[in-house]
Amino acid sequence: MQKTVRWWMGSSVVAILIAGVAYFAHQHQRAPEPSASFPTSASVTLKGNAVQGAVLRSTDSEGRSVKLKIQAVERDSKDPQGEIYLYTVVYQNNLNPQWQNLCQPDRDHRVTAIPLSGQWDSSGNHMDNERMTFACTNSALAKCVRWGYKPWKTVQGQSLRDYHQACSRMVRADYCGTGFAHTRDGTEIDIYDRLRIQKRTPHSGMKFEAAWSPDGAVAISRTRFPETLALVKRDCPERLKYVQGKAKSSNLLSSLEHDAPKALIFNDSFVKVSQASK
Amino acid sequence: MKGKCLYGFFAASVLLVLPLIAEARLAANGENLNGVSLNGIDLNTSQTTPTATNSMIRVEGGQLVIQSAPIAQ
Repeated sequence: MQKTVRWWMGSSVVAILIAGVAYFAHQHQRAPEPSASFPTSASVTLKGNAVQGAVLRSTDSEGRSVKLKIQAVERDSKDPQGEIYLYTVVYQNNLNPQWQNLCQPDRDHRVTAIPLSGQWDSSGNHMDNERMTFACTNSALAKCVRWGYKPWKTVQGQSLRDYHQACSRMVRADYCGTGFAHTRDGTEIDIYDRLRIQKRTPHSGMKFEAAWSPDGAVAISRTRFPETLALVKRDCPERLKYVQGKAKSSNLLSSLEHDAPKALIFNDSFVKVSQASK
Repeated sequence: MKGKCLYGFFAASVLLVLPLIAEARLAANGENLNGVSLNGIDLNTSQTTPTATNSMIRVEGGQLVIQSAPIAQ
């Protein structure tokens, strides 16, 4: 009997040691990134790669239960500052028990998203509230972040929130700032801005299109697609300003900054022939 | 005797490992969000509504932060 007790005690001590080592390893495995912190106090904070595997529950716009899972996390290799994380997010709802990717593939075949604070309404306006948005990398919101307009940052004393918003209007060719896009997938554009985060590409063969603020275009020289012009003339004709004619190509940006003082971002695009005239 | 040793090992392991599993589950279950807005395709957002509140999810810079409620030890 005494022998049995000794066996129990001995094996328990061994088990406690093994479990202790396992616990130590577990804690260190869960914090692979320097940004991941695990305070030993009452709460646990997960960030960086540590959120991988997290399941988030919420409801969609129609009140249906939606479960989101962070399937993978990686740093964006295209971000020189290493601030942007790309999340593979899958979801499951009551209608379909299969996990499905939240995003569609982007041009690099990535199906990832960037989390952004707040949300955007149907007019494309940002609402600074306690919610958050997963912006897929094929969306205007994420493209603008990856081009350097990180809404959480300040550059030369200016918040990039408005630059990000102006960029999202520009990418979608939302001239009137109503949330209505006038572009097509795969259309090339050249972007440049007041802060020189993006610079104009010389000899791109493109021509100045428009100057942009968070509320849409403030000066439209021409539309990306000729068919759009009639809609702009109908919905926001006051925004059509042919500012390009006043400047030579070499000092175009200075001229644009002077002529469109509210503009933060500018873009060029290829001149296209109207489908109707072909 | 070997069998008894194994039982002892299991008993002690379960006692210690269970809290670990509980913590991992809590950490991985960011239930009760502030709210998540899904943005699947371009700006066509499918907005979602927050549910209750003992874990918090927020965005810091370009990354997701999940803060869980106190863990009962």
